[in-house]
Amino acid sequence: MSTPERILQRVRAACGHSVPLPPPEALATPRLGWADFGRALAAAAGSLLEPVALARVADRLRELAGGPTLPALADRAAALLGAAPAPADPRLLDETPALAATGEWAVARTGTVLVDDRHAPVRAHLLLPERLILLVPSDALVDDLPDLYARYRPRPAGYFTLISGPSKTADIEQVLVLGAHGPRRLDVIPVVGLPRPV
Amino acid sequence: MSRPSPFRARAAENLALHERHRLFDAAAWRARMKREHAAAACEGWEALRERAAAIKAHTLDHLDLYLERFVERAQAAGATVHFAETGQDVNRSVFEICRRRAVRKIVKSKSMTTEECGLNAHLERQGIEVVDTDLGERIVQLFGEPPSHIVAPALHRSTREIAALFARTLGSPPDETDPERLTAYVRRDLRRHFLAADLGMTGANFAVAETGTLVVVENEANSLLSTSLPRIHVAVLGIEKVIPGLAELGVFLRLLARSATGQPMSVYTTHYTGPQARAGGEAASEPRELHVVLVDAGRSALLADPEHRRALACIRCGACLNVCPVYRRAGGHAYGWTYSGPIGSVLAPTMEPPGSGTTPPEELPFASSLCGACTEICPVKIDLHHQLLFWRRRLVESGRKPGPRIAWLAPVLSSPLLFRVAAVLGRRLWPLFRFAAGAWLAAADGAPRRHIPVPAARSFREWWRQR
Repeated sequence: MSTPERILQRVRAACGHSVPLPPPEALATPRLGWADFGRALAAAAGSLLEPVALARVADRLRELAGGPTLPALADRAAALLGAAPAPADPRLLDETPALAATGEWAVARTGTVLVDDRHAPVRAHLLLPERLILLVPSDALVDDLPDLYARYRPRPAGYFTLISGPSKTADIEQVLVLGAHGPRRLDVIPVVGLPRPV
Repeated sequence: MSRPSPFRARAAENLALHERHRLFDAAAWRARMKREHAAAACEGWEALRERAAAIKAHTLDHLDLYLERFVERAQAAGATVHFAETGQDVNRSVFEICRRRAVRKIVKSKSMTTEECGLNAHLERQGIEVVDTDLGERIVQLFGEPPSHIVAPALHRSTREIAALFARTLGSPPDETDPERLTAYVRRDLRRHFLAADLGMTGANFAVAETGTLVVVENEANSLLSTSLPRIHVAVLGIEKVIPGLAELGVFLRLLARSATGQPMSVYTTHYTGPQARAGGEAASEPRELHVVLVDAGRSALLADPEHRRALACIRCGACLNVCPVYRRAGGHAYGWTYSGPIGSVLAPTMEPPGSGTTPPEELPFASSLCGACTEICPVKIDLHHQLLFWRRRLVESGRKPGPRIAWLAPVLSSPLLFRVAAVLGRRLWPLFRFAAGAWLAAADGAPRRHIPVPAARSFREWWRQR
C-alpha cells in the first residue's frame, strides 16, 4: 500500500462520520461605512485617503508620488490608466518608492482590501515597493469577513490576498516596526466609478 | 533528594536569569492583554468560539473526506501533493524536490511543522542553504536555538542580545540598539536572499477542501515574498489543517489573529490555489511549481484517540502559552520540544519523533498547575487542562510514572469527622510542621521554589457559625 493510502486508511478508520457541520452563519444587515474602514485601517497603521472619481485618479496618484509622473502601477491599474505596468522582474522593483494597484473588495471591520491575480498578477508588485497605494471601488465595501467570503468567488486557480495595513513586525521586544519586509506605508483610496474586472 | 528533572532544571535556569525571565513574562502578559481587548471588542466572541469548536469537531470526524477533496481540488489547480508519514518522510520529500530542480538556496517562512522534523538541519547537511525569513525565526536561527514560542519565536531574547547578535552576524554597528534600525538591517540582508533563492518554503494555517486552497496568515510579508520571488513553492502542513470551505475559514480567521496578537486581522492573509502564474514573457520552460506536503506524524494516532482527538483542533495561536503561569515562568525552552506550553505538552509526545525532545515526555503533563486558564482562553475550546490530566492518568496507569503518594489522604478527605479533626490539628500544629513539611516537599519535588500555603486562621465552618 502506498503512503497516501496508508494515511487515508488510518484517518478513515478513526472517523465516525456522525458529527454534523453547524448551519451557516446568518449574514448581518450591512451597517458599517468607509469611516469605520478608515478607523480599522488607522489602527493597523495604514491610511484611508479621500475618495476620488475615476477621471481624477491619475492626477491624485501623481500628487501622491510628488512629481509629474505616475507611481509604478500593477497590471490592472496600468490598464485602467492607459499606462505601462511595472516590470515583472523583481530585481527591477527593489526599492521602488511607490506602486499603485487596484483591489476588489474592502472590509470595514478590519481595514482589509482583497487583491487577486486579475489586479496584480505579479505578486511581488504588492511587496517590494516602499509604499503601496490601493484603489478600491467605492461601492465595494462589506462589513466583515463572512460577507467577504459570501461574495467573493475565487477562481479555480490563482491567488488572492487580504491586505490589512503595511507590513509589520514586533519580534524585537514587541516594539512595533513597520516595513518588516514589505511596504512601510499603505494608503487606500476609494474610487467612484472604478469598474470591477469581469 | 531526587535529582531535579530536566524541565525543572531548565525552568530554574530561566528564573535565575532575572532579566530574561522578567522580559519573557512581561511579553507573554502583554500579548495576553492585547488578546483580551481584541476579544472584548469582537461582537459575539463566545458564539464564534462555539462555532469554531463545532466546525473542528465535524471536520475531524470527516477528515478522510475533506482530505481527499482537498487533494483532488489542489491537484486540479496544478499543485503536486505529497504525503509524509513521519518527519523523516518530510525531509526526504523536500530534499527530493530540491535535488530534482538543483535547488541551492531556500527562503523559508515560519513553519512549526518543519521544526518538528528538523528539516533545516537535514537540508543543510545536504549542502542546501536554508534562510529563515520571519524576523523572530531569523533571530533564533542566527542564535542556533529553537523557538521559545509558537507565534513569537524570539520572545525570550532582549534587544541588547539581539543587537549584539546582529553586530556579530550581519555587521550592524555594535552600539545600534534601536529595534526599527535593527529590523532594517535584517530586511536589507534578507532582501538579497529573497532575490537569489530558488525555492520558497512555507507552512499553512488552513487548507480549504472546497477550493483546494492553502491559506497563510502573517504580518511581515516574508511568507508572501517567499512564494512570489522563487519559482517553486513548497508548503508543509499537518493533515489536521484541512477545513471544509471558505465560510468556515471566515470563522477561524476572526479568532486567529485576535487570539495570537490581538489584531483584528493579520496584515497578509494569502490564499494559494495552485502554483504562481507565469509572468508575461516568461519562458514556458521556467518551472512554476507548488508542492503540498501533507504530514501525518502522529496525527492519525491522535485522531483515533477519543480523549486526545480534540487537541487536533488547535489553530496554533499561542494564547494558551501566554496565560500559562508555568510557561511564563519556566520559559519555552524548558519544555525541550518544538511545541511548548499547555498545547505543546499535549501534542509534542505524539507528533514529534520519539526521543527528539530533551525532556522525557512523561514530565510534560506535570508542567502545569491545572489552573485551567488555557482551557478558558482557547479560541477553539480545547479542554487543555483535561487533556493534561488524561495524560497523567495514562502515565500512572501504564506504570511509567508513580501514582501520587498521598493514599492516606483518601480516608481523611472522605470522612467529614476525620477531615475536621485533621483541619483543626493542622492549623494548631502548623508552626511546628511548617519547616519540616517545606523541606520535605522541596526534596520530594525537586522544586525548592514551591511555597506551602499558610492555613487560614479560621475554617469556613467556624466563620459560618460566627458570622
